[in-house]
Amino acid sequence: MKLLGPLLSVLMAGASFGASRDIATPDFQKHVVPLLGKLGCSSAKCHGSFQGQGGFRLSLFGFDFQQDHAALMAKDSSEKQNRVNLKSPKQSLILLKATKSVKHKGGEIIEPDSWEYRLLHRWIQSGAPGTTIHESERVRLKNQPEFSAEGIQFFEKKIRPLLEANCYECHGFNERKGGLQLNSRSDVVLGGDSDGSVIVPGDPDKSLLIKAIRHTDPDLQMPPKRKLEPKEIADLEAWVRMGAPWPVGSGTVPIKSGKKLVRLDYEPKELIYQKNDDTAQIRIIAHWEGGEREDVTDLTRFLTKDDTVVKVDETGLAQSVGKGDTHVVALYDNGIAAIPVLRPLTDNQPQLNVARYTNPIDRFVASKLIKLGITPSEICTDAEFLRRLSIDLTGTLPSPDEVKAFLSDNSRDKRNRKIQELLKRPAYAAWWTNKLCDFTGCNPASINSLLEVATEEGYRKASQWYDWIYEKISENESYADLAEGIILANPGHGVGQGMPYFWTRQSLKEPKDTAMSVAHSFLGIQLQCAECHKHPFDQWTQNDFVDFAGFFAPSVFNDGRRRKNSGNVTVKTTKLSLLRSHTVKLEGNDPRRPIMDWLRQKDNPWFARSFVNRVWAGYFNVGIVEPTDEFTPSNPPSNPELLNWLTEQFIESNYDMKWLHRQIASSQTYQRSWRPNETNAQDRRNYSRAIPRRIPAEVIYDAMKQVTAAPGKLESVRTNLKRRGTGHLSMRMAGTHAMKVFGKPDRATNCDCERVNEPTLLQSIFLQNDPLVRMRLSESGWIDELVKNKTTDKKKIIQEAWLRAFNCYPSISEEARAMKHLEQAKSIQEGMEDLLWALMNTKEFILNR
Amino acid sequence: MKSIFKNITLCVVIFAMSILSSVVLGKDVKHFFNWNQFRGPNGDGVSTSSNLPTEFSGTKNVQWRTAIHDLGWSSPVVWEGQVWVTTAREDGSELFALCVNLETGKIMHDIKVFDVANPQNEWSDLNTHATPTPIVEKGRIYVHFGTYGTACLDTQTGRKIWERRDLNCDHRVRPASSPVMDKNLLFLTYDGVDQQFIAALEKATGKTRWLTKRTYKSGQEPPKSKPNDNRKSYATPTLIEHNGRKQLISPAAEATYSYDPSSGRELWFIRHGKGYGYNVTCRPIYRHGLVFTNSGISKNLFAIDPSGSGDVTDTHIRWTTRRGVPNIPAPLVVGENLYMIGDSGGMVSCLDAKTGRQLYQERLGGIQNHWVSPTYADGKIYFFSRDGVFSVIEASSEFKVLFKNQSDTVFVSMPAIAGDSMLIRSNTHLYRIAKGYQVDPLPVVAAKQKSAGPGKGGKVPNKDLDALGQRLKAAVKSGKMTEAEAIAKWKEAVAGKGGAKGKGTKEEKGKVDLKELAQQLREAVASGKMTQKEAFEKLSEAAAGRQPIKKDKPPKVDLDEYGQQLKKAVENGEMTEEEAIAKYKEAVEAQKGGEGTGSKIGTKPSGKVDLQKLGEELKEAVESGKMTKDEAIAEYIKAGGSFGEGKDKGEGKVVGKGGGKGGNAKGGVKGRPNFYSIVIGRLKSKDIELGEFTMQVDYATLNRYTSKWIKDEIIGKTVRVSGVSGQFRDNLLLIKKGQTLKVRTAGYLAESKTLVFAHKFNVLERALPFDPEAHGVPPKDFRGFEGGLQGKIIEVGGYEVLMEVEKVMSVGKGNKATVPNSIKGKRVRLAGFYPQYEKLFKELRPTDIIQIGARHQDAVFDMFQVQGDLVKIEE
Repeated sequence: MKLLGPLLSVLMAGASFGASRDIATPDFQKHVVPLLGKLGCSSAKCHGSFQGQGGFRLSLFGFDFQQDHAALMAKDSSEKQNRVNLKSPKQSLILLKATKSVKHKGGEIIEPDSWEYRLLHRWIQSGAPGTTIHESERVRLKNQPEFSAEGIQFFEKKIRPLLEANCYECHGFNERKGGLQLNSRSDVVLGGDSDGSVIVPGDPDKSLLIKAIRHTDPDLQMPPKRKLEPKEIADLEAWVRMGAPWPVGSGTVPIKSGKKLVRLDYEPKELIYQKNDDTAQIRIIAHWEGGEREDVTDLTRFLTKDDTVVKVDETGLAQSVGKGDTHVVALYDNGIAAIPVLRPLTDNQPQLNVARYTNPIDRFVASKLIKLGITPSEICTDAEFLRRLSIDLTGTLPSPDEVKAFLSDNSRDKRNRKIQELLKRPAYAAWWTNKLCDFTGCNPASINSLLEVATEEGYRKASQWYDWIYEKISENESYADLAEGIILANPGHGVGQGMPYFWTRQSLKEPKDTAMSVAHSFLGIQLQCAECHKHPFDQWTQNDFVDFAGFFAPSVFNDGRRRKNSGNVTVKTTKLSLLRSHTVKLEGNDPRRPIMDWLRQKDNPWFARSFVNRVWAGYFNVGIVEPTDEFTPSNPPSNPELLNWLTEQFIESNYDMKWLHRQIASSQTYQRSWRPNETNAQDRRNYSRAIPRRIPAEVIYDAMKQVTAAPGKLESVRTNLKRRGTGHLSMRMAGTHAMKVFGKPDRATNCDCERVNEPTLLQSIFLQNDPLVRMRLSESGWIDELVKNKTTDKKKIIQEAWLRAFNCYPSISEEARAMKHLEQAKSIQEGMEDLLWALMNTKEFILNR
Repeated sequence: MKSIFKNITLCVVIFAMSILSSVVLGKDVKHFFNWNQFRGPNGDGVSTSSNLPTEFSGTKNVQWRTAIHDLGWSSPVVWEGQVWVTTAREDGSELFALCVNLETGKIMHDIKVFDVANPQNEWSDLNTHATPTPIVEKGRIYVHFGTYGTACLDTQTGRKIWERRDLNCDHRVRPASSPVMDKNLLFLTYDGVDQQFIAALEKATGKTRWLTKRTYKSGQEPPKSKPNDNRKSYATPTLIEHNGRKQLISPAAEATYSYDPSSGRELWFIRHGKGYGYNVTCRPIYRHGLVFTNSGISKNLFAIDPSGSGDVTDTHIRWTTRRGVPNIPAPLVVGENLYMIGDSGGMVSCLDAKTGRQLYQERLGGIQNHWVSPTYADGKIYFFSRDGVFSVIEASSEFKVLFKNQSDTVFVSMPAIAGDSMLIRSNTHLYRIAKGYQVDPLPVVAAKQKSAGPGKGGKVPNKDLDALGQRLKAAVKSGKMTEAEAIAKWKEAVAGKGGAKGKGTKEEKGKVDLKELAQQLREAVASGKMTQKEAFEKLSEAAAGRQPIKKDKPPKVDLDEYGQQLKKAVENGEMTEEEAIAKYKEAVEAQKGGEGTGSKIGTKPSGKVDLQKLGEELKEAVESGKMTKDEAIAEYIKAGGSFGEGKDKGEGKVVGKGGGKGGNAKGGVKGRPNFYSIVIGRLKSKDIELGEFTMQVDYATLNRYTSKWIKDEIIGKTVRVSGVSGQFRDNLLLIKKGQTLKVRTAGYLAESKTLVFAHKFNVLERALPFDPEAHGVPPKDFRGFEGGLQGKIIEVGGYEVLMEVEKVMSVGKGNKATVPNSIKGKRVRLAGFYPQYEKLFKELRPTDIIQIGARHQDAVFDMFQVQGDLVKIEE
């Protein structure tokens, strides 16, 4: 059902679930935590802040069920009342506060006897149970024997405080030094990296733990800071002798995850509107592992991705407010659903014959345009095409001769031949190397060795980094192999088969930094938020992050770059989850092989996709997923079918980068004119026309040189990579005024947003006044030559100037104006400086369109 | 002053005598006046004595003075004719308690209380191992050394009655909290980085009555290089009784707590608030029903109503301020007024104690660093600064300085007041001062050094540097010290090695020449023919002497003799240890120069090996996140390292300071010797894209780290400069051919005559045509100057300052300038701000007026070294 009338929507809303509202015993993870999130209790402004609020702290955006449950069950510090009162539930502080029956800074959150109130009340009535243990945890706990009450009491009284005070700093909660966690009995029995059992229940002398605390072995002394008191040691020995009693899944033992949410389903599958104020009710259905389903609309948070198109309220009622397409995002537990929203831009049905297109890209784009009622722009002119293609594919303006030849070529396949030709040029490899250097963080300052002052090691290494990628791209090595060369490179070695500087950057201080960098460079994922809390608008939880970062923990990633702590560390098989898409077993010291294998899997959700998307963005200035490094369910692609197809085909081609470039550049979608028509003027994300964009910083730098260069030097200006902004100067020039003004990235952070392509006033001022521009003009080899040769054919000069700067012939009126100026000028020198200055200060020069 | 450690200091205080006695005393009953604990009997720095001396110069009003061996900053305590202090070996291996006769100054007991197998943070110069002040009562003294142990001694026999060594924590920078007591219990404070608690022991037996852990954690994260730094503190508690409730008010790092003294139950606490605060050193004061305390480095002063319970931060703080609040010294409350002295700059603040309203804030003036809390007696307030300034002001709502004098001592300990006399502990001596006495000047002038001079027992451990390196590494690993501290310590050891060698006590045979000369000189001095100083100069010349008297004499012997002489000089107060070490090194290098590379010299040419090692250490420090790269580089440059590529390591790279002096053949130079210099010259050509240019060199600064031969080689020549990147290319773009520019270089490639642009502390800019005066090339008559200067900052950067001198404040002992005043109105370039002035340096801006000690170590260089103190006068 694609079209939902308002009436139907209302009906849906009215019918909405009762289910979750009135179930007998609300579940902590499924109902209570999401409700607290939805009510805003666990937001950063309230109890989700790291300081908490009024002594009450919840995990930010709620994904730490143990902590939250413990916080709810604790006594409030100031009121001396129970937050949750099991004896008289209505006296629970959380209810009194939320209804503002007692003072509450956050005001009245819920009304007495509302369904929210009833839900919390019923949860308390039913004993306020915490998270149930996930099945996989159960397996780990299954073998745990039953212990006597005395044993448990001994543990709670003596052992738990001891562990918490002395061990948890390194081996508790999310810490896992030496691979060892002491969060649960199974953790303890499972052990860490060291050989031998941490505890052998019943036999203290065989237990590593006891050995460590006795400080008998000089190499194994725990805790490292001090020896435990004899009494404490005796207690631990006694505890092991008892068989190491430990309560099963008690609330305070951190459990990694609760129930597993398989996915969120949503209805309707797509919201298609016709006019303002059309509404539709969204329903969200949670699928839990084990087949359980539940309507959780009431407990879901809703967001709109574009509030000029659609608005959505907290009940999931979505209202059309403008034309265009976007998504409504629904968040529940760690699941995310993005519901497409679309309202045609025009009433007309565009006359597009999808089947007519030979390039599948055009078909996918056209299907979407039809839905939106957009007729795409015409195909661009040859001159426009050549300039656009040269900039996007090679980061270089075409030379005057090249333009002339291309324009006079009448063959039908000249555009495709040009694409083929450019792909063979060094400039292609240089430009895309430059881009890959951006994505992978090739920054001289970061790879400078520590004591680097007097030599230029950073630049030398950055150049080697550049050269290494350059070689792979010019040989069209598969992207996966290229990535593998970086990922598996031996950090102890120099550049060779692999390129190790990715790993030796100073910015990768901690495993988490490494994890974030890998995620950004090769997956197009930003993990920053999940470092500290559940991502607010994303699926990532802290556990996902910790697990992923675990790959790069020094004890695991231990291959020469970091000094080994102690001789032979035997790394046990560790199972870690790769961002929930896959779980791998780590055997041996180096986790990178399994990661690489995972990246190469065809169903890897990000590796190929993120690269394809970044290349796409290189041609259209906007990714199918935009921003290009935010691959998350809450940031869905504008055209999923298109991205899927490109990704599949790219993998199918064995990650053939040239195939990808060719496929994109030869599409009609790419070759459309920038001139909008009536239907597509508003479109910026569906590729119905070319969007003029400023040419990138390095390209501007090189283009200015090219405009002013002596004819004899023109070719070397275009091809000498040592002196090109897209070549080796890429590293050297970072940080100069020119590059800053035009937004060249420093490659210092993990973000594609480092490169800025927005036009600014400063850029205009730069082009008008900067010493660099003046130097180019005053030292112009071309003007010098014109002066020297006393060239008089002004018409030819003007034509040449146009071909150099705009890569097309001047119009008659343009030519006349330029002619007038040259004739009035005191000298050819002065006249030409003026003319070239004027050309470089036009939109035509600075824009790619 | 970088240190955290400042805090450690003890808030020393003195306290006047016990109240009852004070009114009546005369000289005869003096010994009844008991100042029995840190900041006196009430712990508030207030004495009821009168007729105390108000002048102290080191000689005047000194009744007696007694050298205290080794090192300790505990304050003296007085009980019935006895004065007690504690002290410790500099390395912390042995801890002592000393009892001095109040009347005669004679040492009555010198008791070794503990041996320490593993002293904490062996290398800190920001605290001593004997900083907690003992507490004494009739027949018994309780000496406390933090984690090292606590002992109860019989004051008559010195016998140990009981000891406890099982209460431990990691102080990180040695212990400082002093014990306090009530009738039955002794309260000890342990605020380490690892654990934090307060313990009450039974005075009679030493058994633990209770032990209470600190509860509040702010969650503020200290810098990574100092894990858990925010947990440590050095404060001393105060016992009070408020509305019938007895309380032990105990400041800790992040909160100040009140405990029930009998049970240890926590009664209330206040959070020290936002900001990164810790290192509290204060002993709280209870007056007007309020508790006054401060929060260490976050510099909050709180006036707390102690009647609350639980977290009373939001309810019971009557007033609080940050204005004029010091890190270290505790406040003083006299009558209605509360007085504070700022840590640096000598700013005195006076507030209305009940409301916190400020009555005045005035400077005592001069170079003053205060760690000692103020002390009150007889209408006057006494201040003692680390720099040896003794000041007295009137205790009133108006600021009035009664007396101010500079002495050659260092005050970190608080005074004790006994009757109409005052006991003052400097870093070397214990003084009893009282009106009407006079002693001869001390032959000891070596007071600037923290140790009392060599010969008192193994202070400068002449241990193998490698072993030291290992231990430092271990210390860092275990968190006992930070990497930066370890490196500082290591460098100190490297620098001291030459000197230490000289100080060895072994008698060498056959060092006829110098020995004879020395003997002659001594006689000359004795007969008054020359001053000791002159004699010493002569001897120095002979030793450093470019011409050893007998050429065939093995240099080792000469040096050892020279070392002996230096050692004596230090003992006699002729020079400080530091100067002696510098002299010794000079001599070593002079000889090296004479012999080419000088491999015969007994001291290994330490430069190369040491720097390599330092490099490694620094690398690790950076990789482990303990220091930033910039810091490490600054350290390395400071240590005199050059920056060859890794490959060059050990292949004849010229490193360090040795090379140039004797006209060292540059033929041996390969690789990329360090040339950390500002080079001024005219631009000849440039290639912006490659980041290169050529210049004709007019001038290059030289400091002690650079090689003079490079300067000689490039002056007047055209050289290439490579490696310009980033924003400096923009500067280069703007400089036209023929214009003068100034560039900071880091190295020199001799083969290609190329200077390498320094990527750190970088300078590349247009400059006025070279003019020696404008660039701080010192006039001839000023070369060799040592002393204090005041002037305006013209330029700051790269841990160097160009200053226009307004006046010469003082002329130091080592001055060799013929006309010191010739610098007036001219400019000097000062180097050596790292690391000791790092923090202040970062605040310096052009046009600031500063006062600073400067020393021209070698007249061949244009640059002066900073020494002594740095004070910013105005901005």
